Amino acid sequence: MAMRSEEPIAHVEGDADVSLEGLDAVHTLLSRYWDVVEEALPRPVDATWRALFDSAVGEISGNIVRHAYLDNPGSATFHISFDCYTDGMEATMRDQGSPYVLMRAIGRPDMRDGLDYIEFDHGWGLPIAQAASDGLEYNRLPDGHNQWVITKRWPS
Amino acid sequence: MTSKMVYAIESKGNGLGVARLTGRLDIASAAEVKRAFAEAVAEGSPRLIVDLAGVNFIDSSGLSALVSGLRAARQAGGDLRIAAAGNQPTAIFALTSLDQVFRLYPSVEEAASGYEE
Repeated sequence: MAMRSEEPIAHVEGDADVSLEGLDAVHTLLSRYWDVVEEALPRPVDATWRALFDSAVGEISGNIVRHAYLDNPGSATFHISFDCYTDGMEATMRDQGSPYVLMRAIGRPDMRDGLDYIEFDHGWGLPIAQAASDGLEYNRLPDGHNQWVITKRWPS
Repeated sequence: MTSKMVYAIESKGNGLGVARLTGRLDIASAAEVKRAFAEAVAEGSPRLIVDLAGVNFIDSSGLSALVSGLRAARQAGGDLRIAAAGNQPTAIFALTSLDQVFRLYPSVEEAASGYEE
């Protein structure tokens, strides 16, 4: 679990419905977060760096919508928080859905490997989220929540 | 961020079709876009150009829809080319090596010229 003692430079959080429409709320929160970040940081964030962070957030959000509430879809919300620190960013997502069986991805996703049999739901989301970030952590918390933490460090 | 995917696929004749997409190409829209690509190919436009100028976000589902369209187009003797990809689509193509699968063009016009070569 990601724990920090320093206060974030920027912080935005909110809830999204566990539904396809709920993804709108995720992207709205993300957009608002970037507005706050741009005001807080002395220099603009590199566009590609930002795109990869957003990609990781999008993949994990989609994963929650798709997998966490298979038994009772559309019944709940999940919580998202974005934090900007001096050494990078974190996105934390919590839901109360079913535990997720995490198959750890190895290496960078090369979708050319799946080109001949790629399907709508082939499971590229987590490998992409992992490759787009510097850390992807999943935990099943004692209170029954799933928690995903995406970490991305500023380029050196 | 613009949400709902809006798209239009226009047949330009001679097997050429231009698909203009706006919004997010993600888990919410990928299945419908995939069907639209398949229909365009089946209806005589196997040389597809997908204009991503209005697309601000693509996830793995969206990538799968593009790849599915590519496969359908190639099976019909054509291709699926990408035009005007912005920051996030470009980054995700590079991350997944799909920039080595799709031909990427700065504009629809240049993608169309590529078909004439």
